[in-house]
Amino acid sequence: MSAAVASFQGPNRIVIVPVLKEVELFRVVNVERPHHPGLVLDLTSNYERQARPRRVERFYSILHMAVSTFTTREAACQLVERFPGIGTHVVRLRLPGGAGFCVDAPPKGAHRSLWGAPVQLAACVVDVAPA
Amino acid sequence: MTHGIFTSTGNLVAWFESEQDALAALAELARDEPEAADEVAAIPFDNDGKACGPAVKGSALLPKAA
Repeated sequence: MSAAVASFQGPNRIVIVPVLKEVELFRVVNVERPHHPGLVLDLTSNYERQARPRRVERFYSILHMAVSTFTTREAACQLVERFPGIGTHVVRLRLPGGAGFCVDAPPKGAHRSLWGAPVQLAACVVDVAPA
Repeated sequence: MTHGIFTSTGNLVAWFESEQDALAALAELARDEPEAADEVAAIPFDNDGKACGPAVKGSALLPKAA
């Protein structure tokens, strides 16, 4: 067993499901309007930003490819309150079913990892509000 | 309560069941990439999944220069 495998830390499996019916999710961003040119970058995963994978991302590249969202605006705003450098605004994403988007299905909590092309995700933003 | 490590890009790195484990992992990340230690933080979350306490940035866990 290699040292890398021996150092594995993380869940044995992750449940990821396709978005098959419309769902709303909320994401922290740094732009104040839906058509801001910086919005696409704010909806881009650390993988696509070519950031170095950290911890469990070394074993689950799929997690490195996700963007973090929340099931409620309140939960997204709470994250900004606690970690102000993370963003200034919260976007509402209205994701249509059957468009190729996927989310994880954790047993609890408001956080959802979301997979989708950043440009497609940006097209799903229906409003932006200060966090 | 759980603890998440997030990057300043708004993305989750990992969840932890205890603050001790989260801070140990954060310290390791900060040591691995000290130049980016300000860009990662550990944050406690309540059972509803809402951030409920102050973020601890990786830079706070780096050894102080003599």
